[in-house]
Amino acid sequence: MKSMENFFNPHSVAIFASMKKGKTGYEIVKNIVDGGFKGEIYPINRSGGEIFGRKIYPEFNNLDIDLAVIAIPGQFIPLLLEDLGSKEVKSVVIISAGFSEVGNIKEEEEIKNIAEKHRMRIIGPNCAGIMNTGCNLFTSIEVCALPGETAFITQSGALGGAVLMMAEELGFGFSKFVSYGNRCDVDEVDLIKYLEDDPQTKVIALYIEGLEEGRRFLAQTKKTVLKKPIVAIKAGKSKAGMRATSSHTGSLAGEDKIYEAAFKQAGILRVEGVEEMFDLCRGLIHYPKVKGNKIGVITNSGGPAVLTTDKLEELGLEVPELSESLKNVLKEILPPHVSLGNPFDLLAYGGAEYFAQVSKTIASEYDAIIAIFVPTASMDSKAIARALGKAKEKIKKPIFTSFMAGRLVKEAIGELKKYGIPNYETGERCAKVIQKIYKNSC
Amino acid sequence: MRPEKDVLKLFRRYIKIVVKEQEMHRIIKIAKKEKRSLLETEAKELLKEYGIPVPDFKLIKSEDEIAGLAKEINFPIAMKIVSPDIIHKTDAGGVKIGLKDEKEAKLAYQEIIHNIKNYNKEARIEGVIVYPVIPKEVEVIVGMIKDPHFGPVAMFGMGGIYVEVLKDVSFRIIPLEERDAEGMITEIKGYEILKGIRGEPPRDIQAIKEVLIKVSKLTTENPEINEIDLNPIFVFEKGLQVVDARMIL
Repeated sequence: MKSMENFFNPHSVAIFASMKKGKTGYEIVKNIVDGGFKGEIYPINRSGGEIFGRKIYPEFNNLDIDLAVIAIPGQFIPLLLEDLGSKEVKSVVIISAGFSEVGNIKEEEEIKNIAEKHRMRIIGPNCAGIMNTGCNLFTSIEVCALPGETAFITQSGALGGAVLMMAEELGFGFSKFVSYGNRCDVDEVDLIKYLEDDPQTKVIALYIEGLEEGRRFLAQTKKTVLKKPIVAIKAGKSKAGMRATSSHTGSLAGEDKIYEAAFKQAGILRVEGVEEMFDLCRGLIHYPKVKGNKIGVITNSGGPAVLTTDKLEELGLEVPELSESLKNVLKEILPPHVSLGNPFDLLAYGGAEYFAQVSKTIASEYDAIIAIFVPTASMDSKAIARALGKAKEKIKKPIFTSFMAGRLVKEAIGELKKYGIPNYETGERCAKVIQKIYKNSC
Repeated sequence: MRPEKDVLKLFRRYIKIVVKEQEMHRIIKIAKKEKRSLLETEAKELLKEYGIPVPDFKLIKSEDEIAGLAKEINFPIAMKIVSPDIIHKTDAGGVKIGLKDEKEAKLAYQEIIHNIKNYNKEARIEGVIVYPVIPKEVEVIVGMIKDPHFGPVAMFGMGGIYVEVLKDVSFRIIPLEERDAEGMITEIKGYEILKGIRGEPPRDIQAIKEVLIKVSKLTTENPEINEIDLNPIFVFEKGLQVVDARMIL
């Protein structure tokens, strides 16, 4: 599908909008230019002139346009679409609002028909735009995403913007970002289908309020999850939405329960909100599967480890003891006071070497390891992060960490990231992520 | 709408027409013609065809048919009005349970007809359904509803107060695969009851699974049915029985 490819990897982008400072067009051109897009950039407005050192083209007859981004008032859009269509432009993002979301159904129908006639694909209208960090394409009014391996598709533009801001704070990146607004043409299913084969995307995250074609969604996602995990936030848990029914079954069914069912059938991981989505995506990028429910916990501090094991057990995961034979191996390695139970509490001896050796020794009997570290004056957090990173490469089992906390461990967390170890502020959050991935791996 | 979607739409429409014209079930055809939903007897007939167990039943159209009934149906029996115009059968005085012999049955029949005529003069009376009283068992409910976006959806839950008060039910989009049916049963809280608690024997979970899969098939093959309630279903150690069934067109 060339038109889908043109949305994300165009050779040229044209922006149809007012280029005055503070206007949408100005912000988009700024994002595209600042973002470092390597293809051609064509700001288009009858005013002519310049913007960020780029020529503003008063017309586009002689331009070869792969992707058109439109932010002009709605009433002028049909004419522009006809023009673009006759020039074989196949991919259009319409940022402009004022369509079906405010009851202008006919107007939206019209642009849809024009697009169909020209075999043109439209994202939007009433959306916040799209991004592909892989080619520095930021055709959006929102803050530019950092590069990453999660694709985020959102029905709400405003929530999309908020997520990008939060992600920036967290240092969490995206492969693609799509705000699809009123989805007059391209919808979630088209995007998921495209992202299924996108090599930059390891996890697909969705924010949806409602699906138009539930069965098509179910059929597509069932296929996609075989290649990469899908995480979804479904807003609107109210019971409304079901048509009037006279059966008992009908009185028990609510929209949310139907979605819950569909997600289960598709193998989609449902999360409650944005924070949980970040947590889960950070885990899934490195560990799409956790194959069993036996978890080993290594720590240098008792309290956080107990909270973690409580959470693990509450969530139905197991924290079993090590076998006698491996206990004997550990006995040889560790100082005499250290407990050989699970959690493995290294006490004040918990330096890099011990963390690494215990991980390697116990790995064969557990399905995932949580390493909890609370910095002490004598311990080098970064060295421990590195040691765990190297151990992870050897043992081929998922390691999750909770280096606690804040600025004390900031550099160490950066080090963990280099080795692809997701770190969470608490062990309980590690537990929640592991449980979700494990349940989805069964 | 994209071209490939158009084709799909046309194809679906075509399939619908073909199914409607050629394969609509005779029971549904009659009900449609009479602009009503399925009668309990018709719904149970359909269930039987799909291999879903229902207790033996007979539709009695006159008092005279009660003589010799004991040869066909085990007493004690239950009697229930069959009318497309009576939805709340108990409220209308259209249900009698625990009738020990033909004499009691005859009286009950007269009473039911009398009650219904008093309740609603206009009500069309198809007859009275007669079936053996089944000792109360673990009750479950199976249903189907159509969602505007997802189409037919199956429901499963524990019956009685569990469904009324706790709304302990699960859903899956039809068609159901084996693992969907399995998931529906195991994810509800009442699953513990089905597995057997406090010395109670475990119930026939495999039989429930089969009912779910068969309801999925019945729904897919009879798209005219918009809602189904199989409530209650009695589940035994071995096997189960659908005691009451409603199908709405």
